[in-house]
Amino acid sequence: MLAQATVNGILLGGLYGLATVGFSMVWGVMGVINLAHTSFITLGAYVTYVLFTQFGVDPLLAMPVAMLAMFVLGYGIQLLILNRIIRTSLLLSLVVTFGIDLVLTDATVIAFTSDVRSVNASYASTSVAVFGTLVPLVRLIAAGLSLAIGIAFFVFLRRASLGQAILATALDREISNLMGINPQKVFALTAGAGAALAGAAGSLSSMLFPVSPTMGVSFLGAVFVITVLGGIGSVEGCIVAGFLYGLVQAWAAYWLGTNFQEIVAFAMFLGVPVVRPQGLFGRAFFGEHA
Amino acid sequence: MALLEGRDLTIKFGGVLALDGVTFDVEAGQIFGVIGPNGAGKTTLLNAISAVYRLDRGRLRFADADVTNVPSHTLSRLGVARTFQIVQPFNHMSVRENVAVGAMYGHARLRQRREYLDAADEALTRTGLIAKANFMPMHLTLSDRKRLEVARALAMKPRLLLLDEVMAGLNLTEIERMIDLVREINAAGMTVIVIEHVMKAVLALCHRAMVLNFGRKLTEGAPQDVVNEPAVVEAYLGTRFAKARAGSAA
Amino acid sequence: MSEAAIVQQAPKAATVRPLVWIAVGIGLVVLCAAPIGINAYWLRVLTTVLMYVIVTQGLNVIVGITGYHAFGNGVFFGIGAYACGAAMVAGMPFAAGLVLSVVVSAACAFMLGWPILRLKGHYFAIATVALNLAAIQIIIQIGGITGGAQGLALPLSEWDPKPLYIALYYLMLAGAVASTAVVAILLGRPLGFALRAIRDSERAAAVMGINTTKAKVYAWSISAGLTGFAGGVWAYWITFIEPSSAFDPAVGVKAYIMLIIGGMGSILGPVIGAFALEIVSTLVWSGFLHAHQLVLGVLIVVVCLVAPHGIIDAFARLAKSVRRHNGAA
Repeated sequence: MLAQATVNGILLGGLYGLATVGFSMVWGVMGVINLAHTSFITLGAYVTYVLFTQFGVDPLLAMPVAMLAMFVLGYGIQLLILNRIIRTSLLLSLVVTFGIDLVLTDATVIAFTSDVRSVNASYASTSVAVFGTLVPLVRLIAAGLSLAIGIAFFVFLRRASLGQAILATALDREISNLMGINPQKVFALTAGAGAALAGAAGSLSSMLFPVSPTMGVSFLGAVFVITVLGGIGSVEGCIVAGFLYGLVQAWAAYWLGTNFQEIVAFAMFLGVPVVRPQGLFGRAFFGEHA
Repeated sequence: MALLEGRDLTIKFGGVLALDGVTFDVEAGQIFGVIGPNGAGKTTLLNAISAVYRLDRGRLRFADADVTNVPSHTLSRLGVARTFQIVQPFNHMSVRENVAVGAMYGHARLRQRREYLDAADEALTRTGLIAKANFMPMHLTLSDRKRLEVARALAMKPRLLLLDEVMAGLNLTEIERMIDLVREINAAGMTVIVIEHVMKAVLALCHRAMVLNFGRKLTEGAPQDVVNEPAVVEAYLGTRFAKARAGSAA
Repeated sequence: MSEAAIVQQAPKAATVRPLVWIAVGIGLVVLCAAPIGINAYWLRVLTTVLMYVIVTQGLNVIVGITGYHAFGNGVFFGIGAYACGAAMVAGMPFAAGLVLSVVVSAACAFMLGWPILRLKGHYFAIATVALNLAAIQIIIQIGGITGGAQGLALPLSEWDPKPLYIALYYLMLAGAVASTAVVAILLGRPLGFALRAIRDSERAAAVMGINTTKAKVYAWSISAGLTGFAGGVWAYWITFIEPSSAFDPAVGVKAYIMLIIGGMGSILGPVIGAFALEIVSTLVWSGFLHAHQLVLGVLIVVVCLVAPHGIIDAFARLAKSVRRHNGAA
């Protein structure tokens, strides 16, 4: 049973990690804490749902479409709204994204009602044996794809020139600007990519969890903890911290009961900034010597 | 017994030794200069003396009390006041309010409204800012903002004033005026430590000067002597220049 | 900005002052007389507005004045609610329960402040949200006198509803006036200066002799006490509380938006913001029954884009640009 919990935890952690990368990058690159991030997850799931039920498209094939749709949405929101807020006051972004989240969530409720839906792929009931435990195939696929996408994004950031532009802006916005990188475009690109990754996570989640307008919210706690644990702005941090989080949650539920899962999550969340503010992979600032 | 004694002050940033065993004394009533090329550790030293940075090694004594690694607000209350190289005014407060904070919380610790406002006005008058007492800091010129830093520090009624590159960014006239101001402050009995790049100010003001390079103390003495020492010239201008200079002097 | 323009500002301030006092006076008279003329629905709305004035003033102390953005300050609303609720269930009268609301909330902020206020910027904001959400779980775990997940039913008042609700309205009004007074007084005292200094440059504040940690903890304790008071009255008013409603993060978020609308760090800003947002929300709710969240969300986004420093500031800037336009013509 412990083995079962462990495997489940790790697999779920992979999905959480993917759900978090976009949020963490947006925070790291432009300092924006996007409270609407979880609605991208929800919308990604709904896009998949619509394609699956209306057009019979397999969820895995619908995922790229969901990602594209979310990219456009994230890009647009950043360009039109958030870029202007960043210039005024960074902490205002918490309030604005809260408002955007209200709009997106309510729009989803209006369009789809609060009824719970599901996406049942043909292989949804297949299980695979992993380390002596029985794991639903969809969970394995979700975790595997999450990891693959995460690694792909990591490579993109380090190899592609657009990716490098994003990293450069995160490290030093002023100098990047002086070197010809347009921060507004980079922000929009990062936001779009972040939303796309969230959409991917939502798409994969639709195969595992019931689809509802508030499904993204259930990721909120995990997203915050994993961001802080992995180090803000660090893709590799999110991936590793995601697995770690999933594991710790699974073990906490196994040994302490599901009630304590939340408290363990909060303990991690409050503890990391106090003990090691930069998380696992983030960068510490040498100026704060005192 | 010196007013300020620093013994073996050492600060590491990761692998870099920003301060390497610096030892010095500052006598009461002196204007003590700290000079050195960029990156020598001057501001780090100032931050160490004003308890903004923690010392990794070494001891600091102020007025015969051990103040090694005390919190900066404690040191301020004991009588140490400093300015910042990149000015840090309280932007949402008027000039007078900025200075009043110093009178309230510094060594002076005046808590009555009339008292701290009067002390603020006194500091503003000494620094020539009284006419702009109701201005907001963002409406001041850089020169006036530097004076505001000094006024804020003066209102604390400190026993030791630390000036962090207070001449930086000022034109010649402004530098002259600032030199006069520092001289006046010192003439009234204040001990001053001056971190400076502007040699004219160092030579005009300092009774003694210490040269830092790569975090280490290179030498110490009267400013005129110190700036002509070969090792100091080499540190600022490079080995080739120093050699050429020594060669032409020979 | 030219010196001439700066000098111009001073006389304007001198003429605005008396006008503000007159407006405040009229407002207070209207609010005192209100229960006589309005129906139960609007009485409830106004009581809620005044409750939010208290919560927003509490937020004003830690966010507006000190610059520490406690996005989850609503946690003290819940603590105040449960302190009062538990006290009354244990047999204490309402007045004692209210005192406990204030004291327990302030004490919690005092104890939690020392570690949490060391966090800066975003970290602090999010830590307070985590606190807010964790409180829900903690209450559920504690159970016992708090009622845990089942919720807590407070002893009902012996009064008739109509006079009771009017009395509670006046209690909230008193709280709103008191909390605004606390902010006004704080701004004039050395602690107020210290907090404003911390907001502008914590480093400079520290080297000028301000014990920044102590000042921040005091600020958060005052903030929590005010917020807890509102929670305590709310608990008695609503008679049944549960973790998810008492610690609803939306309370803190709404107050934050009200603070933005009204203008951070000002004395009357929270009053204006509370009235503006709550009245508009109520009208939106009744007007757009099905899409009220959406409309509210749009409003929030618009406010942040158009008036990020508050309505007063936006109007002031608008007035200035109109004046400049006319002056140049």
